Amino acid sequence: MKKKTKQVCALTLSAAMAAGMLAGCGSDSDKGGSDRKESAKNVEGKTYNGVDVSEHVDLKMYLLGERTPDFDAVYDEINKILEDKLNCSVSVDFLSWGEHEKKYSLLFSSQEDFDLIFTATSWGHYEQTVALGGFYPMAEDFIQKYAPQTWETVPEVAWEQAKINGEIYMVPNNQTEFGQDVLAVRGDLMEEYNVKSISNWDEMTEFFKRCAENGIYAVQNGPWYQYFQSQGMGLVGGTPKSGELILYNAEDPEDLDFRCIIDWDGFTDYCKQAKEMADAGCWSPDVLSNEEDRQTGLLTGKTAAMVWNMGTCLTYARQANTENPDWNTTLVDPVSDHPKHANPYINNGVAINKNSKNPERAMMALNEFYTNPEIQDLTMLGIEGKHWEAVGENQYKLLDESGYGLDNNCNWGWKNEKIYRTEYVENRTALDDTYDAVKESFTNNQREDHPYDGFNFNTENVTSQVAAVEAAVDTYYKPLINGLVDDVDQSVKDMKSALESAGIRDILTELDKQAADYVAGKQ
Amino acid sequence: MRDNARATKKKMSSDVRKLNIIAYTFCIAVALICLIPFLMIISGSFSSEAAITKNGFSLLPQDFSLQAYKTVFKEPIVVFRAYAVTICLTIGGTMIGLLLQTMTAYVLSRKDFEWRNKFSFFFYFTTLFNGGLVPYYVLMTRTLNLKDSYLALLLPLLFNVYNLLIMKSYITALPDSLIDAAKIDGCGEVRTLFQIVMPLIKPALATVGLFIALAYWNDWYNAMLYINTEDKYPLQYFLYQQVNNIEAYKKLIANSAVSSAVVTAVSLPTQTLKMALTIVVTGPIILAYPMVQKYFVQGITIGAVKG
Amino acid sequence: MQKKQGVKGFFSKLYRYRIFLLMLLPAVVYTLIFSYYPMTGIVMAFKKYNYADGILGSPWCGLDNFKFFFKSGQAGLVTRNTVLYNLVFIAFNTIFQIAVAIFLTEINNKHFRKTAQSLMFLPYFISWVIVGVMAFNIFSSDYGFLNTLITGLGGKRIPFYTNPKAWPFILIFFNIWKNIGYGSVMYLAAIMGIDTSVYEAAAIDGANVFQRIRKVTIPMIMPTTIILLLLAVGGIFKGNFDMFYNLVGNNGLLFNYTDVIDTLTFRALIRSNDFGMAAAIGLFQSVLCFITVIVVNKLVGKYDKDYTLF
Repeated sequence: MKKKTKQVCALTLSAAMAAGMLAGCGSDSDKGGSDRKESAKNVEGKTYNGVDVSEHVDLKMYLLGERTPDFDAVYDEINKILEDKLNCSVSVDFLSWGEHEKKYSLLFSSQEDFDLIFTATSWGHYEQTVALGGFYPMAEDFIQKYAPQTWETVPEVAWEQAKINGEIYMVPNNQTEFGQDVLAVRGDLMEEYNVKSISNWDEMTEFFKRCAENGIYAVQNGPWYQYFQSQGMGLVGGTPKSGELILYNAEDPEDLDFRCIIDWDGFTDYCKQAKEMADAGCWSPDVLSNEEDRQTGLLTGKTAAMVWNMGTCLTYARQANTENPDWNTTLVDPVSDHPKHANPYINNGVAINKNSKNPERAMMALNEFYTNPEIQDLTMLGIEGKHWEAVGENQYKLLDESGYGLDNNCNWGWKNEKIYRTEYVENRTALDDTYDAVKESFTNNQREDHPYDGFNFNTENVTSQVAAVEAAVDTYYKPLINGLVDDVDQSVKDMKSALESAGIRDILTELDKQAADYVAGKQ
Repeated sequence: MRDNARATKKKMSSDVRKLNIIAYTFCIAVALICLIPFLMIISGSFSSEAAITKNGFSLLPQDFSLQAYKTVFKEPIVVFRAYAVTICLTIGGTMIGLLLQTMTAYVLSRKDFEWRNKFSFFFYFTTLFNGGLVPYYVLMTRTLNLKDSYLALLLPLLFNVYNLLIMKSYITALPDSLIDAAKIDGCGEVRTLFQIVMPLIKPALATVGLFIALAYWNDWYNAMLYINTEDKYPLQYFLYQQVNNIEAYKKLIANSAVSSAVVTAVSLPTQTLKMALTIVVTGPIILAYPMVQKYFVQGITIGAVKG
Repeated sequence: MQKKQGVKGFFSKLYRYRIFLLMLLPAVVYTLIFSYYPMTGIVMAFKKYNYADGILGSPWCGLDNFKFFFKSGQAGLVTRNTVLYNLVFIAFNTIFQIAVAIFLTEINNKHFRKTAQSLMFLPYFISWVIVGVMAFNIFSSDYGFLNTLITGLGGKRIPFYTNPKAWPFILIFFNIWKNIGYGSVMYLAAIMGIDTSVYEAAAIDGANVFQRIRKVTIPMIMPTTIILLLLAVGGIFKGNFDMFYNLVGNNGLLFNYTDVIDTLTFRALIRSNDFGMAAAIGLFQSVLCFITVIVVNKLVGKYDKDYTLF
């Protein structure tokens, strides 16, 4: 009798737990996708650019970053415009900075239902998502039909850059950003070391060495970028290590050869100079493990200069000057003797999900984001009168950015320099003038287009080799470009044989083939 | 426990004294090495970001500042709600998990259960092979539809094979005669487990319970994958979000992808914030630890139960 | 108890074990759903995965996903590093954790015991990210605590971050330090589970403390120790990515001494995020771990059947 009870007891207990688990599994089953409200606000005969939009659609978009407090208010305004013009609304979900590396691909592998998503080359998952078939391919007539204004606005080279295997998968943004870094450098030290200007490679290395002699580090790490830029080289998009291993002569459109660092004498030459500088103490021997932010050295007085893009250099130079007015931090272009080239436009963009139920409407909405100045202002600056106020036709002044954040809401995918506003600076300093001067010199000194500027390597046929090269190269590459090896020649040789057995030759052969096809296709 | 044994010898004999010297020296040394970095973290969390980046860690706060804690408790209600979510999950998960694991371990340790090794292997195998994140994510979100549900935080940590096998080893260590005696007395399996075995493995229950609790307490990963609503964030994920967003944002700027968006990120604390988070997370556990600890400082006498 | 023949025997056992089986049921169901069902993902190791076709529908690609690892030229090195580090970690962790557990139980002063134990638990809560920053604060050549000390004493700076030979020691130290409190809890519990009467018997026999530890305590915690060792051996081809990455970073100068399978895979796939290749390396590690565990488990079984995992 007693035993029976116990058995029943065990049975119930187990069954309850099992049931509990199963029940738990099913409990929220009706939740998925219920965010979308069913609305039947269909409007008879409504058209947008001649396309029928009578059926109401709710679109869903993924952006990167954080939802700011006023974000929803801003998007309510945007939705009013969208409802009015193309009978749809957009709801936005965020993939936060900390998690987009993981979750971006999970959205696609779990076949989640959404329409638009922010993307960018390399850091923003563009190539890898295309390779795995996550994005909706945008045929040219598709873009022309549903987003004619955008098709007109985006420069041809930008569309060219967005192409992978001849197909466009994103609408790239439209702004001329210069990717080439400049130096934020302490003016007081330049004066002290009697360095008049830092405008080319020799002057820069000279300054670096003077810093080392005086017991201060010049910069955070070895100036490899400045070196190959001073040789007129550019990176080949899509190749391993973000392109740093394979270069092309960007200043000569006739020169169609690639230079892989294991074959190019310039690399060995640079590494020797880097070793000399590193040995002299131009940067810390700990550079390879140093996880400090780039600005830390400059701001704390550990380094004399900081290498970064123009805008960021300005920001931190301002901060350095506020904290230490006697430093007289200024901006210089260490490669000013060479012409400039704008960043690839695909550094920011928007793609359509392959599983989108309404790619056409998504494209139309994107067209509005891209070409409607009102939406451009809203997404970049927030609500007029609350977050910012207009100064003239195309400038703005901030009122209170705390609720929204200037240019901070992943609005970069549809930034369009033809219509966005620039900042009106009230109390200008010498630094602001220098910044404008440098910027102008960049803008006025642009090089001729090279056939490879829009080219992007497709790794599909050599995935193993690319992964093997990525794995093998770090053992040699970073120590070399930071001048930390004992014997440069030997180390370059070791790297060469390591990369060759990893399959770099296969990659180069494939690259030559693709590049030749690409150039032939352009003519 | 050993106190009894020692009590019979009135004076400390030379071997006991020798052992005491070794034991104290060793434990003090280890405890200090463990304590000092933590003190540095405490003082770091009360320092200003600028001082930490400039001078590194130290034993005393430099340029005393509450900036990091102000950032954490920017919205106190959110933090306390996150604490509440974590505490509920930890308590609930530990109780269910402990029951599940003890029950399973008990069966696997029974020598008269011929299939025990087959089942042990069935469980152990899952620690060696797994299918990776993608199928698991699809299972959780599409098959079981657990997106944004508390169950997505509870279920993944409920059952852990390591804990199961540790528990099994503790139960196996009990003398066989105990269970035989229970059987002869006409005890069913459930009663044997609850009334005879469980009281004897209190240290083991405390250990495994502690491990399950820590797993729940420290979990941010499942929340990252499955939780969208801020109200449902557990503590660790809430904090993880804060640090990671700042970090990743700074890194993004470093990659010069968003040159114009720098302004807001410049002055945010990162190092000190990370340290403050360590304190915020560790504090309650350290305070609660003595409750578990009492099971590690008191032995058990099996003989007493047997009779 | 001997095996009865065939199906009938199976069913009669099924009936005899019904209570046991019922008690196992929840755990079995759980494991089937949450562990075995997602294991289908292992096939990704042999597939060229794409989103549209999903895990099962994507085309097969043979062993292509494994190629990159062996092509990298570092496969042997990182596999060796992974195993050696894990062996050393297992050995040192076990010794230190048992030592702490035994010493703590031998100390009379309850307050000291409790306090020391709590303090040793602290490193468990310090994330590897912070440990990495701390290590940089200690070992950096410019401002590092250790180098400041060395130069203060008139010595010559040691550039730790360009000197690979120091790193095995640093890594082992931090590994012991991080796990000592957490790990020793398991041994403490095992010691607490020892019947006090055994100690009394030993005392009556006139054993001194050292003999008692050797003859009673250590043998009595053997089952727990061996289970923990076996569990650790089950991960011997898996490197602790968080630790290696946060302490060493992408410092190529140190790779010969610090690169493990997981850090190499991370570097190789960070840009392509290739699911197939990631699954392939995971499978490679799992298979090697599996073989090792089967062998070690057999060996343990020869020594004592009760100590085996399965």
